[in-house]
Amino acid sequence: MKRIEIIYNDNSFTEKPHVKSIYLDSKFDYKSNYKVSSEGKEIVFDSKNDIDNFFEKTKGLNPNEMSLYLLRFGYSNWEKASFYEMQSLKSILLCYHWLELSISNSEDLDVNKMFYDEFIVDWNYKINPQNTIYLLKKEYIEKEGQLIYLQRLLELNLLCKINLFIGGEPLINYFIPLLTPGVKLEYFKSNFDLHGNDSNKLWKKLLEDKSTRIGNWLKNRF
Amino acid sequence: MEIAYNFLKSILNLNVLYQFIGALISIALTVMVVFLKQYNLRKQRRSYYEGMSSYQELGDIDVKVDEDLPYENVLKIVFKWSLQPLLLVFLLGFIGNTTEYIKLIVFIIVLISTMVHEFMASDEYIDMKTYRVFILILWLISYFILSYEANLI
Repeated sequence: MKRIEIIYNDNSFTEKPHVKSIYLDSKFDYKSNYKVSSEGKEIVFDSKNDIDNFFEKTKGLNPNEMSLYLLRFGYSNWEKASFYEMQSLKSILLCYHWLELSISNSEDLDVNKMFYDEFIVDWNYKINPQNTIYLLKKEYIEKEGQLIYLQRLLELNLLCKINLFIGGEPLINYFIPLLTPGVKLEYFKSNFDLHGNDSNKLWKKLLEDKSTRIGNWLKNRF
Repeated sequence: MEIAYNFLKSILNLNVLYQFIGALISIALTVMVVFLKQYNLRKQRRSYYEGMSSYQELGDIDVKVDEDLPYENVLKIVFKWSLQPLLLVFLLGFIGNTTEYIKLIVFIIVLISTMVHEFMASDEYIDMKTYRVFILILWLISYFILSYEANLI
């Protein structure tokens, strides 16, 4: 049974952090079903067609519209889900769509090539700016002492964590979610970073990486 | 001493200086237009965010707009748009006098280097200090060449 897990902060960055998880469990076989579960609520998709249809219909919806869509189709216990929970539901569907081929064909395709320094666009087919998920580069996970700063950024709603359990060692990465708030410098302060400058610099560097990566794609279509 | 003074006088010309000042003003105009376009985009983005219903999840809107659409470094934009006016000044300066083979070759070299700068070199090398110094030296040398040419009349 393989699993994609996304860890996020359910409270706003102005309050105390409350870290929660959302899972997608499946065998990723031809006839398997897919189950998305979070905090006791579940959505079960009976086949790959069902989850793909759901993904197509909910492309581009912002989290408020998505909870309305879920209400219409009978998943009424998601009514009280917060903005961040709906956003991570969208994120887990986007990551599933992006990684699905590499997970189900692990002999032919390597997940590591799609898992670092990539961005996933949430096309909304309108004039509004398109939102993206940006998966960080591998060097931020491998460096010593960086993980505590990344965890701090997770508590400020600026990053989310993604774990892949696909047999063997779990793969870990962080990503910049679809909508991040504008956080003033004073919120970055913490026990290990008294003035908040280091965390702020790291955040600005991550944003620069994201715009470089998207700019490279626009220039070279890679 | 006398030779140095004559040499210096032969490579400085006032009219060519006026042309170069005009070229610098055109660079300033281009940089101003680039910044005005970015300012306009930021204003649009800010009004879009202020109209969104999920107001509190956005946090502080000023910080968010600054993160989405940051202003670029002024010097970077100045040097990015700095070779094309040089090409125009060369065209104006070289045409008025007698045509010689060497002038055509110099003009074609400047044309090719402008195109290489605009399309390729500016993205990769514009942050390096040596490249910026190289562009400044290029402007200075072309001033001397054009002044020498103008002083021959």
